[in-house]
Amino acid sequence: MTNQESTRMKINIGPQHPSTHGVLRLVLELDGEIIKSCEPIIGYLHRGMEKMAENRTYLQYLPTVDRIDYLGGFFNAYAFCDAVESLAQIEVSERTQYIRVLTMEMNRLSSHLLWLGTFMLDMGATSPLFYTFRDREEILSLFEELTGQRMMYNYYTFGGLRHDVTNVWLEKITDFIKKMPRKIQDYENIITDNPIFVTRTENIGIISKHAALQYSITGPNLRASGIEVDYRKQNPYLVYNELDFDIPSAENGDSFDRYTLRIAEMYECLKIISQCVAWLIENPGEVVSSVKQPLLKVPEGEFISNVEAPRGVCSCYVKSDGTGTPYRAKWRTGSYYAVQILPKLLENSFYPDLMAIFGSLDVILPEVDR
Amino acid sequence: MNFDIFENIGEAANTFSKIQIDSNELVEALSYLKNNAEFSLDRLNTIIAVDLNDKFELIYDLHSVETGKVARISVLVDRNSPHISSVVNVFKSANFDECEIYDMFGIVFDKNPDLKRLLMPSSWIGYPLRKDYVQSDERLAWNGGDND
Amino acid sequence: MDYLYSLYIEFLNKFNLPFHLGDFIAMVSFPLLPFCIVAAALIVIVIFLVLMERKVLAFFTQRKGPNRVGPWGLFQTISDAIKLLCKENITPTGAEKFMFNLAPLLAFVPVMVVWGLIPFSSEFDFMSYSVSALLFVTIASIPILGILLAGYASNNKYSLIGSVRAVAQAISYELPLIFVLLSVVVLSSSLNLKQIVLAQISAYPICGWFIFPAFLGFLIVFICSIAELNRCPFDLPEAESELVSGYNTEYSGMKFAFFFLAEYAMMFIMCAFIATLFLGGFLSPFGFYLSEKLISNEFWSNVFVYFEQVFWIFLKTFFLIYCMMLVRATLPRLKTHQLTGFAWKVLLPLSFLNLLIVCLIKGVA
Repeated sequence: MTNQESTRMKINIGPQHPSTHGVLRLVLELDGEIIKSCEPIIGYLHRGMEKMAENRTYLQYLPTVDRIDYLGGFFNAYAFCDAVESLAQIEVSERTQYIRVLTMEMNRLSSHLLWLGTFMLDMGATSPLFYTFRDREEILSLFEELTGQRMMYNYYTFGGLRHDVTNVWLEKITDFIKKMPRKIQDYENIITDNPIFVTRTENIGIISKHAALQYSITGPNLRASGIEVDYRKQNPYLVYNELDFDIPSAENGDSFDRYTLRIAEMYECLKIISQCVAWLIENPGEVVSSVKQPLLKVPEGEFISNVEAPRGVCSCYVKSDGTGTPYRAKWRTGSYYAVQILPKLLENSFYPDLMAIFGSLDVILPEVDR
Repeated sequence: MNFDIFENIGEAANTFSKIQIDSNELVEALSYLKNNAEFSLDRLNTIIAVDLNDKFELIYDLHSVETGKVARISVLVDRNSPHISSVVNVFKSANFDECEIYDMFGIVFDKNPDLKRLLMPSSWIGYPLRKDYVQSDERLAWNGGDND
Repeated sequence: MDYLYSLYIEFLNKFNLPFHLGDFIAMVSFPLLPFCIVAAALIVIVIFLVLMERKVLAFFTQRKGPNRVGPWGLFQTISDAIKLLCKENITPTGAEKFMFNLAPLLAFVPVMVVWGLIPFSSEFDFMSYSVSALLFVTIASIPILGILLAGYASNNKYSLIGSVRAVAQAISYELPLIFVLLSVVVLSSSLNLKQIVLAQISAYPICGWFIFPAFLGFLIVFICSIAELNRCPFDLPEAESELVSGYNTEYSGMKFAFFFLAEYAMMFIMCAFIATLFLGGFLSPFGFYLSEKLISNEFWSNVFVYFEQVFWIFLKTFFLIYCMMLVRATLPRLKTHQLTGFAWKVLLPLSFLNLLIVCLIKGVA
């Protein structure tokens, strides 16, 4: 027994590391090249997002919410706005809903592009990162033109948006999505059939259906395991029930399936974006909310809103006690549970598989630590 | 326990309704809801803890992947001795949720295999999300280099 | 080389030095000159190669690469070298001091030795032995010892893992290399590198090059040399995303520069070796040397032919280096047992097959 213990090596993949996608600390026990156990230690980016809500008014808390998952700022902002709007019974116009869908889908596309670049960088291929960032840069400059900010948008308000979109901006989006399918096809050509990539990701990190449900995995990770659940179709919110799109799914639940699924989701994003743009060009309307934001007092009650964010289901629970500040806000994010299932996936796998599995789960640490 | 209280699960999506049960019926209720084919609430979305000033409230948010139904089960926990049984045997994802609630509120989950502080450093004193939490200088002082 | 030596002795004897001092000086100083030329060429070429790699990788990713220091960034590597020289020389506590300091030397010095073995022109081969090719492969395996020492002596778990992986990889990829070398020897009937080049002369310009009968061997040697150099896709020992920097994590300053320069110098000389074995070395692809046609003065055209040979071998080498950089920019990294599996299960049988094909061709033709 002691002989076995002495050949094991404890390695700390520290909070500072070129590719833990944030400040995650993993304490691995290695036996040669095989990982025997893994313990994730989180909390290095805990900023007290939930406690902050209790000391700020609703309007003061709204810009903070973008920063919970900085790659999907619109999703968090929408989750909070939806919760407050449901509690305060604020109506949202249809044009607002279409613009919210449009911005959220563009945000999903930019998040998946970043994921693709960093995943390939973890695998060792340094070139795709630059190409995907180049495409993401175009989306970010479109957002900068719209909201003034590249990542922390602060664009949604309770009951509407800060200002309307212009037709010029919508034309730019049309040009952008015309050339995107070709570019995503380019990425697929160089990555999907590459034998090195396939051998490194096929049958690696398989999440079975039972495990996925037990560990509350949501989003693309769940759909890659064969369970076709997407909140945009199952419990439609905003105007998703009027839009025409498919939900891609895969069967095995390995890293390769998670990769192909996110690529397929990128194509679906483009479909939704083009439908929204077409609708918005034809239907002008009011988007600015009539609610006095700084003085918003939400009646007593509680509500949970669910959004299909790029990393899973993002739920926001807001409990109000009738005053202008929330009594309690609680965030449930997708990456939190992906970190929880990581030790189970890494058991008895090879050390180089760590990156193939962890990269494919698409974990963002600010979302985990809040 | 009386399972009739679960009759109206999964109705309107835009409202929020929670079902209040006793804390000693918790594990039984969750297992029933998970295994019953009519509800099949097989995914624990999250566990929400709220500090109502004289007691704690735990809300278990259950979702069903097949039918899309949701259910919110609410349990009240005494503030002076906050103990409740863990549901890790029913839903494995509850582990992180319960550790975080222990970390933030101080509620002890019996039978949780590894209850420890998750987000705060392990040497932290106090439970930050409680309403009467005051950050004192002791807790802010660097206590000699604990690595967690 | 003997001709030049006799010219040199004749030149020295013109001064009529006593006690045959002229012969003695010639014997001692004659090897120094090629050594100085090789050392100077090595430094300049490595400086250029580092910049070339950064520029080429940048062009593959739609960027510009370094372009601030000097025109087109030409002085970038020099400023990097100055920076590395000025860094603090850190030896971690707990590291084996002697081995820690020895490792960079072991990695760099054999590379300088091996530079002399390649015939850059038909006259400039001052280290010409009857077993040059075998000597090349032998001396080129010594840097791996340096990597092993570096990882072990660093007192760092990441470095240890990196160096162990590097040794496993190097051992696996040596064998197909040697078997392909055997097939080249079959084609040329000699291990001397200059004789191998001269055996590729034929009536039609390119047809004599060994890449045609031993094409499979060429591919195998190309892949094996990428693996020997620890370059992507075989760069598991220095996998940045997993091990921070593998075996050279703890090295800083000039010692790190040694590892770094050794890799680029080795890359150049490996590609020169492949060019010598398969692409005809210093032979011109036209069949005749351009300087014979272009320069009318007979003495100068004879001298320029040697420089032109150097030009041809450099051209082929840089073409191969460009291919290596293209491979680096495109492919992801191989896993450990994928890597060793590939060497033992795929490359080694293919190298046997190559040997068989070459023997058949030699027997028939």
